[in-house]
Amino acid sequence: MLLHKNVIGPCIGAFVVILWWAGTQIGGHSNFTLSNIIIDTKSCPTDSTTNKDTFIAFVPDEYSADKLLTILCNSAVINKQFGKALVHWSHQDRDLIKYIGKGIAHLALVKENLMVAFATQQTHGYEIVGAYPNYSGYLISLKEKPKINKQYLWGKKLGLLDYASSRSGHIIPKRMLKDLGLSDQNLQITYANSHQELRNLLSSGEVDIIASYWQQEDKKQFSENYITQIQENISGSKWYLKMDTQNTDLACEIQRTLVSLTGEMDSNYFSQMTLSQPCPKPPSTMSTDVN
Amino acid sequence: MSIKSIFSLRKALALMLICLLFQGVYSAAKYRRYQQDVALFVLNIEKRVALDIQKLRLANPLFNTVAHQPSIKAYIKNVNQLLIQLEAPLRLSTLQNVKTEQSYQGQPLLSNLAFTEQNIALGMTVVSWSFFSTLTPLALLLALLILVLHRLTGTTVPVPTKLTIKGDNTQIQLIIDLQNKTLGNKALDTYVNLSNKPFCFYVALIEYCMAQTQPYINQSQDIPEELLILANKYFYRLIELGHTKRKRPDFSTNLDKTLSEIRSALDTTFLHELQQKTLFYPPKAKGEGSRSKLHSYALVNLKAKHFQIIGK
Repeated sequence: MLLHKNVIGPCIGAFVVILWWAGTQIGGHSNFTLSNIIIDTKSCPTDSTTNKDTFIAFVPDEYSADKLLTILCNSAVINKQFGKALVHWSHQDRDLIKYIGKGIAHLALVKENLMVAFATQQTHGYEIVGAYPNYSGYLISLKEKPKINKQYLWGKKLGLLDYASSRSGHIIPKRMLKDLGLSDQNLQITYANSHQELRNLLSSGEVDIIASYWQQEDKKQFSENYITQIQENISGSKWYLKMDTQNTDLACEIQRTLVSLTGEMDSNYFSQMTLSQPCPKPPSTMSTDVN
Repeated sequence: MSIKSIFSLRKALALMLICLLFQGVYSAAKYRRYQQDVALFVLNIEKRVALDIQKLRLANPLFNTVAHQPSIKAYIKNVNQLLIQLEAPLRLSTLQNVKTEQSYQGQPLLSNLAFTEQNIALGMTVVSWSFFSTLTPLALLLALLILVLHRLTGTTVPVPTKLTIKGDNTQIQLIIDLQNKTLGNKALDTYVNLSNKPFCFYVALIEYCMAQTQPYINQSQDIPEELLILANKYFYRLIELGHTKRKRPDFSTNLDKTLSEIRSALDTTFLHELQQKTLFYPPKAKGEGSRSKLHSYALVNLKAKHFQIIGK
């Protein structure tokens, strides 16, 4: 092999180019995207692999979504009638309106006032299949019992829920302020995303008073002596099933599902569900000849 | 080619320098890639947050809403888990001033997402770049390859030259032309002019060395009388050939400069043919002190067949 000395220079040059190329290409990231991080939907396939229909349920939180999906996936009727069971959870009115207002969800846990507002029974045939007990709305404070009068509330820092469909956290306290002749400018209102966040605001001293429901667990954090009822008998959330067809098998199965779900809930309140009506009997299969 | 000869001190130094060059290039490329990745991940994080903004429970001063800290912290944590999986040089540290308990070391980077209702501030941390993480054995391997190539070229180049020199005529490699006052290389067809003093001294040196069985001319001693006589003889010959009418130079002075001019002319005459040049090249002094004092610039290996003097 005959090699001329002049090959050394080009060789070094070529190796420099190769190393530069390798340095810029090896271990780098070229085509990638950060995949979806916020998961608000879970689903499972059923035994009916060729069935394209999806049973869709809407609930306010992930905890109940997980419990509900497990029961739905094991349901015989769902496995027969649908190819997939899907549960979506969200606390936001925007999502609720999308799923219920457009009749997408077959089953949903929703506040009655919203369903009335959208006339969902007339538009999509939503029927109540289960209901949680009525409850009361309170003003809760940390160091004194709140008073419901203009002089007391004037200038106070009040914590409310930021979604307008909430009764205890938004509608009822807002109506109370209006009845007292107080506007938003007369108080410092802070809006939170959840009832728990309201409680965090109160315990951290960021607000003086919050508007919410009262539950037994709150006794660990606040005093029952420092709560003042604004309104009682606020209707609890209800389970709605879309009955656009006379699918009685599904209705009965959903009632059984809700009973199972109630038994699995940790919360005392959410374990007190009542079924709205007995499971409808299937229509008679005998035909009557009319002469 | 023995391993011992490769790893001589000179070779080791050359190997180190080439290796450093290659490693430097690779590290520079890696740093550039790192900067590109940082920019790419900043864009991707911004895109991800922009896509999720409707579902993030962030504070909004316009509506007096406060951020839902647990969900935002969980979101930041999930984003960072994804970034760690992708070995990204970036972490999301804060989102609208909500930060997780986990802190990251590195350079902070702020970004601002402008939405219609408000601006969302994103705080990111650029993970520090480490030079040592870019060290590659490839640099050493390629440097070794260069050394091997160099070794191969060093041994194979003279071979064809040796093979072609067969007859008496072809063995003549240096042509000393008194008529044109040039040193010439027949093979390369290169001819170099020399000034009178070094030219005459070089021709005299060749003749002097040819006359001696074991020529030895100590550089630190006086130039041998015979050599000076020969140099003067060739100067008079140049006068005869019409090259000069000037006074005869003193060949016994400025020996170093004279030899330097001769070597320079030989460098030009033989270009890259190192092995051939050594026959004609007055050796340079090596080392210092007593060693250099014994140095001889005589042309020891030169034979009559290697050169031809024209116009003698």
